[in-house]
Amino acid sequence: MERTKNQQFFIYLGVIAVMIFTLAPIILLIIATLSSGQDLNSKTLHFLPSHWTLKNFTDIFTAESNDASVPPFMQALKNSIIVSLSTTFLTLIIAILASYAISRFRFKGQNGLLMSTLGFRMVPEIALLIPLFVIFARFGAINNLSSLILIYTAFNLPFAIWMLQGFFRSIPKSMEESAYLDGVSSFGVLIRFILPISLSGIIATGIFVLLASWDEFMFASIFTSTYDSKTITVAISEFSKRGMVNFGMQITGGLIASLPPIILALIFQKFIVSGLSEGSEKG
Amino acid sequence: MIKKIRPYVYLVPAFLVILCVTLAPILYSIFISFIDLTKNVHKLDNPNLWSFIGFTNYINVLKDSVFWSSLVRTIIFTVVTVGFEFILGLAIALILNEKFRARGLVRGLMLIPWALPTIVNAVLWKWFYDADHGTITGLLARLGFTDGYSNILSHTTSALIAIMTADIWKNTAFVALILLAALQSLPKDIYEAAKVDGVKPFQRLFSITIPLLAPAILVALIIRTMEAFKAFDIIYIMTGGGPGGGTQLLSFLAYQQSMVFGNFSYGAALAQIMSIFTMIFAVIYIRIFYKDRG
Repeated sequence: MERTKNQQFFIYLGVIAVMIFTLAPIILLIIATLSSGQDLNSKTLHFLPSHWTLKNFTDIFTAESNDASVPPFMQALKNSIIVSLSTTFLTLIIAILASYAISRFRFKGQNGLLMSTLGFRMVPEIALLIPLFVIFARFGAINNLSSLILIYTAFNLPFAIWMLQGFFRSIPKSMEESAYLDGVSSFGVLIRFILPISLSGIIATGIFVLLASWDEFMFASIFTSTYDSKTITVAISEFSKRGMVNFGMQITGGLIASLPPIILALIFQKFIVSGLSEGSEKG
Repeated sequence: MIKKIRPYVYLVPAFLVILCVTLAPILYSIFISFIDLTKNVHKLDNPNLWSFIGFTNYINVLKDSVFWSSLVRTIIFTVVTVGFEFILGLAIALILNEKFRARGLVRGLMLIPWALPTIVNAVLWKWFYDADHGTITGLLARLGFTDGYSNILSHTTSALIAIMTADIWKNTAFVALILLAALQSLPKDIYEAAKVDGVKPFQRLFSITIPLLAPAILVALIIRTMEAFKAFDIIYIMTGGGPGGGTQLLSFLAYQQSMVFGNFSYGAALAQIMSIFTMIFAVIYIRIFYKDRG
């Protein structure tokens, strides 16, 4: 549609307003991480630091050697990477198998199964935190990254199955049928036809699962109390738990923790947007 | 015969995980809500110590004024945040759907608040509101809205508004992304026809765009309502439910009762009540959704 000069002006005004709304907090965050503690603790309103420094970034990786009450950031980063990658891998494998069955075969209880995955998606996490804590505490399976991976996998499965079965359903069945006539097994069909065609959907689903497990805090805060098992969200929350809040470390840790999801989101922008629109069409 | 069991074979792993880590815990949680379990979880090892007390835990929750004030606050939080996120998200989606320079870049940047972990968002805004050094605190003082630096997070009303603002900023981006994706898939010819018929832009929004966007709007609203209703992380970081329980939301209350005070049974009963609310939302939304689709 052609726009008049006047309309163009208002569109650009709108775009600028949207950019300020979206980016101002992020820019303030980046500037703050590059400011000295003195600047962060000054009581005058200023947007730029009196001098720029990388001290916050070096501090965050070394602070634990001076102060035992500071969670080791590097270890937390490593734990979060292990937990979120394992969760994503495990969730995708299990969800792909289940979605294949739901989208390709007819069997008893199919609709009920699909509806119940939707239902499980809606259970408030707190309703699971209490029983899982009681169960895992009795078996002594607290402070164990595998426990966290198992729980995150269970949480993400309903969502992943719901997304993937939608993607699988949109693939025409004609190719598979000729493959079946050639004697290819159903598993062979999944590996050779379904997976390559729906790769973009699988990537989109994987990214959503990855970000969800990277962000998770409530379970991680209860299920990890040792430095060997704490994830990055827990570590960041604890930079403030000591009497004095160390904003420099907290926001610097926060910025570092935000980089992997933001970079992934920007790289896989197309997949995410198509995933969101698929989701919005199929509910 | 093999053909009959084949689909179930593919479902076994998913079924096992959901059975063990979701379904069984939900049933276990219902069981816990009917006994008296406080502090020591090893009481469960001995069946003689399970004292079934019927609906006592539920009655205790429903008689607790803290529950009711948290419920009201949770509803306010949900309605206000989801409302603003919808209006702002729709406005942003409509703007970004227009033609302008560097459109791809601008749309890409909208992903940043969405991808930012909730914990980081909470930490960031807590720092903006800091009583001594916060940017927003300073800005409000400079602009004369407050008499000097004020402690925004230590007053009930301002703390709740501050938390809601932080939540709205992050999740508006999510709503905008969903609605923008849906806008891009709308048929263009309807707009051309409307233009020929002389439909005004404002009318076009309400009589064409919004009805066509209805499914996407509904999905965005369902997801956001569910999430807002169980908001936890942002409260934990920004205020810890304070001042004086003034920003206590239901998830946080259940967490505090069970994990901090060890009242597992009270927490479990409260969690079941929350699940019932969530189910009611889900049924209402799905009803509207399928009715609209005919």
